[in-house]
Amino acid sequence: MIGRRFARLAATLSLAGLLAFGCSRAVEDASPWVAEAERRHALADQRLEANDRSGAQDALRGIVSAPAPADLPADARRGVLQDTYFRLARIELAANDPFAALLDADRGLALGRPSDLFVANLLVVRGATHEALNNAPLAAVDYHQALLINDELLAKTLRVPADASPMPGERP
Amino acid sequence: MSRLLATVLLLASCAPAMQDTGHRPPLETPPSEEQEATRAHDELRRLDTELRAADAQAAAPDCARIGQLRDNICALAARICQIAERQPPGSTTADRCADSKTRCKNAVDNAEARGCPKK
Repeated sequence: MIGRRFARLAATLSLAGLLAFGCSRAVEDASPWVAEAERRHALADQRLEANDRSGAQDALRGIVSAPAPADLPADARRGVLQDTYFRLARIELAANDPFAALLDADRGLALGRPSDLFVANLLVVRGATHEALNNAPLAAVDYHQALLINDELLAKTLRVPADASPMPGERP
Repeated sequence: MSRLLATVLLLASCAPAMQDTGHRPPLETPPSEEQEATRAHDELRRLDTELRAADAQAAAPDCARIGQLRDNICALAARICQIAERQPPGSTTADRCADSKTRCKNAVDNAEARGCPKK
C-alpha cells in the first residue's frame, strides 16, 4: 500500500518536473539579484546531482531570504521566488517531509496566483503534498486548478502566432 | 478582420471588375468608375497578399508549447481521475474528473487540428 502511494507520488513528481520544464531560466533580467538566483539554482542542480539535498536547500534558501531590489518588476520577482519555492517543496517532498513542502508551496502561492506555469507548478507540488498527507480530495482540487491554468495557456497559445513572445513561466 | 475587409472589398469591386471582362460595353463606364474599380482591385490584391501571409503564419503553430500544455492537461486529468476512482460516487472529485477528461480530449483534438505530433 505504501509502495503504491509512493509510486503514485513519484508519477506526480515526474509531472511536476514536466511542468517545471524551462521555468528556472524563464525570467530574463540584468538584475544582479536575478543573476544570483540563477547561480544558486545552478548550484542546487549540482548539489542534487551529488545527492546533497541539504546543500541544494541551502542554495535555494539563499534566494528567498535575500531582499529583492525595489526596481525589479513585480512579475519577475514573483517568478523567481515562486520557482524557488516550487523547487524547495519538491526537494522536501522527495525527502519525505510533506509538512515542510506544504509550507513552501503555500509561501509560493501566497505571492500571487496569475494563470502561469509558476503557479501551476506550485499547485501540482502542493497537490502531491496533500496526497502524501493522505488528503487525496484536496490534492484533486489543486491538480484541477493546475489543469485549468494549463488549459488557459493552451487556449492562448492556439490563438497567438508561433513567433509571439513566450508567456510567463515558459522558456523564452 | 483582414479577412472580413477583404471580403467586403471583394464584393464591392466585383461589379466594376466584371466590366473589364466585356460583359458590358466599355463606353457605358465613366472613366472615374473604372479608375475606382482599378484602385479597389489593387487594394483587394494587396489585402489578399497580406491575408495569405497571415494565414501562412497562423499555419505554423508552436507545437512544442502546444504539446507540452496538452500533455500537462492530460497527465493531470489522469491523476485526478485516479483519485476520483477511490472516492465515493457523486463526489466533487468525480465532477473534476469528468471536466478534466473533456479538457484533455479538447486539448488532444486542438493539437491534432494544428498538425502537432501526438505524444
